[in-house]
Amino acid sequence: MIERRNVFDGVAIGEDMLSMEHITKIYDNGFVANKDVNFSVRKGEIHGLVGENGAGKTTLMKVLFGQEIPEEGRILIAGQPSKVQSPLDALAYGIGMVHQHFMLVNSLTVAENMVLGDEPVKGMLFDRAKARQMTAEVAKQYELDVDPDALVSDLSVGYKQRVEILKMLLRGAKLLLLDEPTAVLTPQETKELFVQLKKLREKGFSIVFISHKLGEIKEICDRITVLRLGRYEGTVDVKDVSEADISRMMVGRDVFLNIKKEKAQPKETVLQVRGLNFYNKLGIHTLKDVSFDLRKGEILGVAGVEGNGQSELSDMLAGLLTIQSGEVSICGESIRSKKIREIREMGVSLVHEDRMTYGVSRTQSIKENIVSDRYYKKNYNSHGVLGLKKILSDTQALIKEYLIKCDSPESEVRTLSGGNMQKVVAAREFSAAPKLLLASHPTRGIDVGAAEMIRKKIVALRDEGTATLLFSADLTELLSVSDSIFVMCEGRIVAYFPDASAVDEQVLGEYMLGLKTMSKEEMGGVLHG
Amino acid sequence: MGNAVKKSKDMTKTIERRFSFLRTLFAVLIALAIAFVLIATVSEKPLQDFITLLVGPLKNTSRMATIVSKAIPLLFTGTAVCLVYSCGQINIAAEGAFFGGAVAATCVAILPGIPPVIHIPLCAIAGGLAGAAVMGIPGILRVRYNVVTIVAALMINYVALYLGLYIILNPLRDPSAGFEASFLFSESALLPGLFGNQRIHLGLLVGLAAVVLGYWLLNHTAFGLQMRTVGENEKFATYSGMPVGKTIVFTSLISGFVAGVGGTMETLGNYQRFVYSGFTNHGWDGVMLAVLCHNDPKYIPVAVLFLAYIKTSADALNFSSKIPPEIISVIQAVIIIFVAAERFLAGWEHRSIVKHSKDAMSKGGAE
Repeated sequence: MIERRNVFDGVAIGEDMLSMEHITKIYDNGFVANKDVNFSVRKGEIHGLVGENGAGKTTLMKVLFGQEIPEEGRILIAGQPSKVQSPLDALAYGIGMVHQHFMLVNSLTVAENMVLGDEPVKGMLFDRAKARQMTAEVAKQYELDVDPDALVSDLSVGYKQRVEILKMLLRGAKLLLLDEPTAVLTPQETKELFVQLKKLREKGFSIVFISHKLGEIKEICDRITVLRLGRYEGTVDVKDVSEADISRMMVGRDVFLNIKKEKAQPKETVLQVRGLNFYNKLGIHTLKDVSFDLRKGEILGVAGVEGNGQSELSDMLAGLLTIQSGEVSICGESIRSKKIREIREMGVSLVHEDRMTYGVSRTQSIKENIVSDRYYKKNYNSHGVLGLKKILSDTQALIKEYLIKCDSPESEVRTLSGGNMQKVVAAREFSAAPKLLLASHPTRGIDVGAAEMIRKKIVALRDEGTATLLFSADLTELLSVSDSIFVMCEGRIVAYFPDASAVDEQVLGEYMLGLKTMSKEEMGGVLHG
Repeated sequence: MGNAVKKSKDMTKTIERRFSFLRTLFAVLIALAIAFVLIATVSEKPLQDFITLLVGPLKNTSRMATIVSKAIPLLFTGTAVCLVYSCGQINIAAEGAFFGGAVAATCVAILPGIPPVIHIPLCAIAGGLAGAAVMGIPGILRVRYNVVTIVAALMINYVALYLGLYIILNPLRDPSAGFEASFLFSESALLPGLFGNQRIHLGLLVGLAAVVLGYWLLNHTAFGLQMRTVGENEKFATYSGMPVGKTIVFTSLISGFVAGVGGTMETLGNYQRFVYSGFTNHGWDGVMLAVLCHNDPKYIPVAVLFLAYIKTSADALNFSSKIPPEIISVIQAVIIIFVAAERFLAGWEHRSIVKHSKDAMSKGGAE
């Protein structure tokens, strides 16, 4: 059982309920994640914790939640210096955290997940009726509607998040730490979440909202604290600053939020996909009769809630998954039963969505990560012996061109930040002079500066004639980078917009959620013939 | 500021390297302390025996030659396991490959009438191919049928052992030997000694060559890059378009070849006929060596020398005292456990990295 201390009850609305002073956290690899950071939360506020990826937001919250022990600094809870050594301590104080990746057991019901780790018992047995009753009560109390008997595996992402929040409330949390809660939500789900958060604020709860999406911060937060490169940049009232001010604090310079590009000049068809179907290992039909064309010099965006067939589509086009039925041809040549290397040699590059597993080999050098797709070619090896000098000089040139921050080309990729890792991936995939670029979430989880550079490069490649298929969960990015867009829902293409500038997030969201579907005739343009 | 951060990162690497050395040093010291306690409890003259343990192998040239002689087979098996482990395959069939290599070499070595310049290479090739077959099978099974490598390798070791013993004890058995052994090797197949010492034989040079070639293969060839990439991240290798299956199979074959040649050299360098009646443990030692060397053949010679030294110490103790050789095995095991324990001294390491990062930050902040 979690012992509850109810320390926040004595704090009045609008007063500091908690503050962190001079927090310094240094990881084992020498990385200074937080340096002398100050942070405070008032009772009854939504406090934005903002900064680029790698700025130390998550680390600071892990310190507050007892998952990381800081090297220096102290935490004052209701004015008393306190030690938070573990998540159990944090929960006892009334601090709850909802992680970016949900901590729910898929095979259990909502009620079972709600009480997990703190189960009600009758004698020696689990008291299921009590668990259901507790869940129903807390759901009613906070007006967050959930079905106690639903299996978690059947729930949508937004629903799961609601369960996570309720779980923390059930455990007596008065302060909720939400780590990038909107990263996985559709615009509609985000809106719903915001309504719920505002209700909680009215009831006197406090919320720390981690994000790097400026629009959301403006909309929901009362105050924000900005971190940059692990340092404290300041705390401001949101009503006093503009989005541009916030981004300047985050990045330390002016950022152009919209990329500039000329109108696309699409030419002949490069990628032709016809009637593609895929059944995964469990026999689930994840791609249903997918057909589309992609032309030279065009960026075709793919919108969709994650898990609606996008991963299967990009893996299949790159040869990582075998084509079961349907036809894929690149410049008129089928890729069926071709090896990955052969497909790459046809001019296909892939920025894989799973950067840590497929995008890079973390324990190898930048050099070896850069040449992994081309080391066997004539200019890098003769009779099986590597031309190490040529590899080194080419890597150095790419490090310079892509502004990869590193000690040397020999540094292991694991020592780089997320943004710089992605630059390594981009350097390799973009420098292969692709005819077809498959870019799957190319800027996910990386800092604004690196994302800006990668987007610019994608547009530059388009202007040189590359055909690009861009998958992204970030609709702002998708709308600003793509020339045309199609939407996937449940493995199908459900909408096609020949001109990306003529749609907005709202419209895309409706198709992404399956609320609307275009007829075959309306989507006719997705096949250029 | 950028500069300061960069320096601190370099410093982190230096600290990591320093602690890697310290860890080994402390591991050896702790193991020796435990050894001393063990010796003190079983020995009548503990101090003298402890000194024998420490410097016994250096007492005379004969013992020093023993160190080298014990080191030769380990150069092969250590390199073989480094290669296959670098490719991420927990293929522990080096033991069987070493044994199988010795058997195959025996088949060729008993043939009469072949001049030495041809006979020795022929034996080595036969031994190498047998070794390649033994280690290659788990590799092929893994690639074709997704069999767990460690299980296949463990089983294939016994296949090699008993098939080998069957061949030696039936078609190749010399009934006139008076004990279970093969026919005598032809003179032309016996390895010449080096430095006028019969126990330090040609195998030393071949073994050192294997180490150098192994290192070169891993770090300077396209195939080596494939091996390491498959070993570090197989999915990344696949995504990059590397021929993953081929790489695993060829690596297993190459490793097996090296181990098989090792078995050949050990047999033809030290014996007149095939005399083993069971596993020789050289393959298992190879696994241990690869772990100690983090799969990098560069460190194999030093690690091999260390292991051979301890083994010679054991012999010396066994010879001059009543301490059972099992004690030495305990000491060896303790050393490996401490060196392999990555978190050993981790707290200390973390504190010193923190200190340097802080210094770098405060310098950076002042700029």
